[in-house]
This record gives sequence, structure tokens and C-alpha cells, in this order.
Amino acid sequence: MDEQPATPMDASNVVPLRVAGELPLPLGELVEQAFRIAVGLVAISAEALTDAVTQTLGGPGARGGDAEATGDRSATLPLLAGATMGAAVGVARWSARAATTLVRTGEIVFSPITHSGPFRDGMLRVGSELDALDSRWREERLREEAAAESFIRLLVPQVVDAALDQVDVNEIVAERVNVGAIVERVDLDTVVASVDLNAIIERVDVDRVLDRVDLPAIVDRLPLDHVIARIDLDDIVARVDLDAVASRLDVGAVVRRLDLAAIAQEVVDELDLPEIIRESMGSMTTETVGGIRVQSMNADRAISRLVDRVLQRGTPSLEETDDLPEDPT
Amino acid sequence: MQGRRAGIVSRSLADAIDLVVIVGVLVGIYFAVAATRFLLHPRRFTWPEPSGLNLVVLGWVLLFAYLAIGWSNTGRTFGKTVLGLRVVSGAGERHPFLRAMLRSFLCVAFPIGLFWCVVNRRSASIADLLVRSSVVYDWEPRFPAAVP
Repeated sequence: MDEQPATPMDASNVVPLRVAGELPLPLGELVEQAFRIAVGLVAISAEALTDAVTQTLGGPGARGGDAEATGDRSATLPLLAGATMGAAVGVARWSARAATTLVRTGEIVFSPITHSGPFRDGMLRVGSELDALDSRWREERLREEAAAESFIRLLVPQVVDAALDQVDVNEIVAERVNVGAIVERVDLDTVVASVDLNAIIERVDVDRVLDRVDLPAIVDRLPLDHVIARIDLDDIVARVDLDAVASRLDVGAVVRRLDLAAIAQEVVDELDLPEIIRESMGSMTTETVGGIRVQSMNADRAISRLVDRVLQRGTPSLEETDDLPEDPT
Repeated sequence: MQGRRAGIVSRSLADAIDLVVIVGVLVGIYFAVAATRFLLHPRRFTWPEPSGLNLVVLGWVLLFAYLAIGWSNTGRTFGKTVLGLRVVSGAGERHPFLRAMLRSFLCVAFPIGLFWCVVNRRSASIADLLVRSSVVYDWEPRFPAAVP
């Protein structure tokens, strides 16, 4: 059916186009092909109609080998349909040959007329009229096609939506699409290499992501005790150059930031100086009073001895203890 | 020496301290009266000018009460506490309040009777002889309540 390319060199990159106005095929083949297309369309429609009727009757699908294998009565429908199609194809071929013969016969029979001058003039006028109509069509073609495209553009989505409403796409994909095979054929490395991860990362709002992260819950799930147990703190401390750290410390700034007055006040409060002073003064007072008592007692004895000597008493008066009173309770 | 009778030096020092205490109380009373007068009549305030007789009488009354209360309760006044002395009866007990008042009255009315203890063999003053009391050394009281 397709035209052969102009040259073998252009076969790979030249799309054969049918030129308007040319009739490269014989009339008989053209008529036969037209009949074949019509019969094919009728066959497809009839098969789909038969399948639908069979399913509405509750039987198995007319298409496939189940019906043939089981020998079910419903298998007679495809048989009848096939026979009808075969008969139609035969009729089509016969009709094509008949039409071709009729046309050639007509050409021979009407050749005196078709080769006459008036007929040729008439055909030329008809041709010029057809050329004028064709020119008008070519001028109007773009507008008409644009209108048709806009109409189709509006119509197709609605038709597709209506069709998709009747079809379970997920079920179809699950049944007919081998996703595993598709994935195996995909070169993921190439896909990943073509992805600009930096651009994706720049588009990610990290703050929003972090706001949605429950860090306390994550920390609670972490085995921190186990992690800490695995850390060798002695080894870490041994690696630290404490001298260098100490040399970088600004001890003066630390001391300046200390509230020494408050610390001193706190120390004084903790020391309880009044109690210390009270205790020390108490001990001093006790020693002083003890000294006064001893001194006064010695003075008492000295005066007593003096008086006894002056009065020439034999026994010191303060040494008498015979009638000393007992201490009170 | 604990429990032995005290001599004139100890007793005099104790009485001198008591006298200072009474003088301090008198001064305190004087300033209290002055403060009260100032609060009542600030514009007409003048320092109080008590007569010497009033002061002596008031001092005697205070000393009498002070000694009587101290001797009837613990046998000590502040002066005797400092010197480690205690006034006891002939049986070594505390004086009852009336006898303490009598001894206090005798000491306040006739203070020079204290010096009789110098010549008395038992170191007794005139008041001790009349009330049958003694003043003894008692530095460390034996009753637990007084032990620090």
C-alpha cells in the first residue's frame, strides 16, 4: 500500500507521503483495500459486540481459548462471526473485481464520448471548478482545522474522563503492566546522576522540616547510656592539651566577672561570725571572771591571815569548816 | 575552797558590782523619764532635775528590791554571780523571801556592817549575824540546771 521511497539512500529518514490528486494504485486494488478496511472495521465491531453480548449473558468471554477448550455452546457465536467475516471478505474481493471490470468496460464503451471535444471541454471546466474549490479549501483549511482542533481539544478530555470513569486504571495496570520488568529496565544510576540534588536541597525548607521533628522523642529513643559507656573518657582527656587550654583562658576576665562582694557576704553568712565572736568573748569573760575570783579569794585569805595575826588568833578564821553550810539544791 | 565562807574582798567587790548595776538602772530610769517627757512635751522639754534625796531614796529602794529578789531566788545577785559567791542560810539553803527581805533591808540600811566580817572568825557581817546567813564561795553550782 505505501509508496516506495524515491531512492534507497532516503529510506531511513524520508517519510513517504501521498500526494493529493495522484492515484498511483490501480482502481481495483484501491477498491479492494477500501472493502478490506470496511470489512475489518465491521469485523472488529462485530467481535466486540459479540463479546459484550456473551458477557451480558453470563458466559465466558468469546475471545480466548477457554470457549474452544470447553466446547461450550457459546463458541458458536465466534464461529458464526468468523464465517460471516470470511464471506464478507470474499464478497469484497468479488465486488472489487466487478467494480474494476465495470469501470474498464465503461471506459471502453464510453471512450467515443470521453474522447470527444465537448466532453473534454466539459471535463476541463469541471476540473477548473474543482481547482477553484480546492483552492478555496486550502485557504479555509487552516481556519477549519483550527476550529476542529479547538473543538477536539475540548471534546477529548471530556470523552477521556468519561472513559476513565468506566475503567479501573489501577486494576488494568496491576493486571497488564509488569512493573517489576519496567523497573529492571530502568537505569537508576543514570536517573540519579541526572538529578541535581544540590538544587533540590536548596529548595528544601530545613527550618520547617526541623519544626516538624520531635527531637525530645528521638533523644528518648537513643540508647545514650550505651553510647556513653562506649566512650573512653580517659583516652579523650589524655589527648587534650590542658596546658594549651589553660594558656588560652583569660583568668582575669573570669575574676572580673565574679561578684566577690556577694561571695564574701555569703561566706560571712555561712561562718556566723556573731556566734564565733560570742563564743570567743564568752571564753575570754570566763577566764577573766575566773581570774578575778581567784585573786579576790587570795586577797580574802591574805586579809584574814593579817587580821588573825593582829588579833593573835590561833586558827585562821577562813579555814574553819565545822559549820559550813551545804550548797543549796 | 568551794563552800568556804567568803572574805571581805570578794564580798566588797560583789557589792560594788551590784551598786554599779543599781546606778546603771537609775541612769536608765532617768533617760526613760526624759524620753517620755520629750515625747509628751517636745517644745517644753527640759532635762529632769531630780533632787539628791529622791535619787538616794530611789536607789535604796531599788537596791533593796534587787538584793531581796536575788537572794530569795538563787542566793545570788549579779555581783555575787561574777565573784562566784552565794548567800545561804545557816542550814545551807536558800533564804525564804521574808528573811531575804530582812537581810536586804539590813544591808541597805547599814552597809558598813559588812566590814564586821573582817574581824569575825566566821567572816559574818552584822546582817549575817542577825539573819543567821553566810556568804560562801560557790563557783561551780552542783545542780545540773546551772551547768553549762
